[in-house]
Amino acid sequence: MKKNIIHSVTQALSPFCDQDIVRWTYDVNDNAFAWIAPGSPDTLRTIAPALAGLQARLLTITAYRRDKFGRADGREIAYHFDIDGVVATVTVLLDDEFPRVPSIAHWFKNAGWNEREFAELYGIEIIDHPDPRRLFVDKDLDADILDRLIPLSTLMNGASTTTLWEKVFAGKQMPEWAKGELN
Amino acid sequence: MSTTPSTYTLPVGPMHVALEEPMYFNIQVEGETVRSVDLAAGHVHRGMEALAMNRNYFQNVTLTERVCSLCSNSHPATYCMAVENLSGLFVPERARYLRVIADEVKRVASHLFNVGIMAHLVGFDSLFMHVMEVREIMQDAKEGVYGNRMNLGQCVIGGCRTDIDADTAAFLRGQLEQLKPQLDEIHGVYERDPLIRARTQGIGLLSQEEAIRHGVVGPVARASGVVYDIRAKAPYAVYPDLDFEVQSDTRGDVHSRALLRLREAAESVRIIEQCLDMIPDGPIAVSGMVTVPPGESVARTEAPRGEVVYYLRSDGSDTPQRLKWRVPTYMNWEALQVMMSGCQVADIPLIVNSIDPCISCTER
Amino acid sequence: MFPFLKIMVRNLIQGPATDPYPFAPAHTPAKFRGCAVHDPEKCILCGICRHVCAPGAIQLRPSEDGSGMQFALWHNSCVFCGMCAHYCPTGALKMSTNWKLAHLGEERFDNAIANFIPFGQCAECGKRIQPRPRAITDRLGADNPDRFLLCPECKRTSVARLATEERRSHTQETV
Repeated sequence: MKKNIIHSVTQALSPFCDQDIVRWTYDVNDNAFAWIAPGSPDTLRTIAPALAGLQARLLTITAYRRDKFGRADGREIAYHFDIDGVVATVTVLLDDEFPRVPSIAHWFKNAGWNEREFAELYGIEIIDHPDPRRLFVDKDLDADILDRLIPLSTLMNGASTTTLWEKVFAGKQMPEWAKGELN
Repeated sequence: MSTTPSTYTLPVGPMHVALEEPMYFNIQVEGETVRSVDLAAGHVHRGMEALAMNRNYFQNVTLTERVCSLCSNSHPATYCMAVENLSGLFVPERARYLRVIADEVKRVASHLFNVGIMAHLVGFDSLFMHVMEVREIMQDAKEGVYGNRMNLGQCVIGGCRTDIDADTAAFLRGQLEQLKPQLDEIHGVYERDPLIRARTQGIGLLSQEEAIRHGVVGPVARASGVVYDIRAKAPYAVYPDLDFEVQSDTRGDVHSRALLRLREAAESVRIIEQCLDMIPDGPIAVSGMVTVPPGESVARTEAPRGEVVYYLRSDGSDTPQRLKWRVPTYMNWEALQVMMSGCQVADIPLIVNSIDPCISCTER
Repeated sequence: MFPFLKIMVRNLIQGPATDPYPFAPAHTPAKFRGCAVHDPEKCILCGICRHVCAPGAIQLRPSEDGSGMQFALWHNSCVFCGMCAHYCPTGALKMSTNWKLAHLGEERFDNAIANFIPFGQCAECGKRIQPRPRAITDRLGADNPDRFLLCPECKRTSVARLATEERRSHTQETV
């Protein structure tokens, strides 16, 4: 059964990508995962309808920075699909200067929310989105804020701040040195 | 007097008596009939994915357990599977049984909670209290076996933490014996009670076609004839060795979703019993601490509300480069627009509850 | 007609299902994961507890004179996950069944564990090493109790010496 799916996925994708850029991995229960090597955002315009033709279901979309701390430019987006039990991940590389990507909501209705979410969290422009509003973050806040983390606990002087630990240490019977700088 | 019906906007939420969590619905109403629904989310967006990227792989087990309380075991279990897939770790067989037991115990408690809330929304509060009281059997089981009523703390990378010895196995079996007749009885009430039927049958309809189009998951999809259960479709842990039936229905209304959840709870009890019978001796976790190589992996499990997906990307450091998770409710929200169109204003809370919404999951 | 009536009557006869706490003790299972307890006699300052603690409730601070470390766990940051107890190699950290943690607001910073753990000393050169409490030497150092109390350098010398001695006796035998 799984073999058939693997075959049809490879068949459906063959017009746009070479056989060797689809990599297959398997977990301990022999579930198959297809990894389609990174392409340009425009490849979505052909791959998305092909996957839709295979009755694929969009699982989710993950945007991320190539360098986690944003020290270097570069954003990528991984689109995860389910094709009758097989997970296929299509990755696209975005332009450094103008990160933009076409919407796939035309073929996968449930892409709408996912695209709105990564647009606001990573500052990526969506081309032809049917409903390009903010999803979670208020429209008055800047886009691309996921990396600029201000934990609520820091604001509220909660868990793990230096000030807090000074107070914890201050109330305890312990040597003077222990009340100094946070280590 | 003009007889032309006028439309007006009815705001529901973000705080609503029926829903424990904040979600804002902008509802266009014509008389008493709903014409269109618009959702505004984000009231409890906490940026947990960014928190996960700032914590090491071990801390994230605890963090992911706190995404949601009702499916709190599904999150760390799926996260651990993603880490294990990437580092090629084999979880000992006993641990895989233990994970299934923990998942199914949570499923029973979660389904009973949702079905109980439905009785409350119907206005049948004595039934609501009875269902919550029956759910207490499972809460006590969790507390007695794992040490906490919600966050079991069962999963770690490479295995489990709490073993089930002869004493706790006997205790758990005792709880299941208490639960079984009660579950049967509750199913009977939900199936036959005239009040429940009058308020829930034929309400919040979602056709199979619309279910596929919106990509809905879990009991919502299965009640609309989309028979998709990760436990059967892309099995994990020891599900391939277990005998269970994927529940489905074709009616796709509020009533069928509730009954489906009750049938699934009964099925979960059977699964736990099988696991207790079949569980082999052996270690419950791999020894030593794992290192995660650079790369990417996906893991999926069937949470009480449907499919949970974790995507993990590692750059070889001790914190994830990116950890993304998609929860079942995230997929089900927009289908509400279909379910609610043409419904009565009074049915809005019932329909919303029938997707078993989890907002802390959705917004993370 | 009303299938619930029977259940309702039964529930009425059964009476309340809740515990009468605080007028009677509430049931606490033996496995309950309550507040953490720390045994300084068993702590070897490995720091794994701090590494796995998601909310950052554990702190370790070295003393100025270098004689040891101050261990602190603030219960109000703790989320009772028990990961510290799970990964603790010596059983110094455990989760107790104590859940009675309510306290006044002004006492909130006192609600903590604070223990001073002195470093150990190398049995040969006297250099500072990780703590070697009795409870640990008996268990982890059971294979080679003498060498367990040495600093890494002295341990290396001791292993090398042992190896040369073995080889020497081996050569003598063959000759």
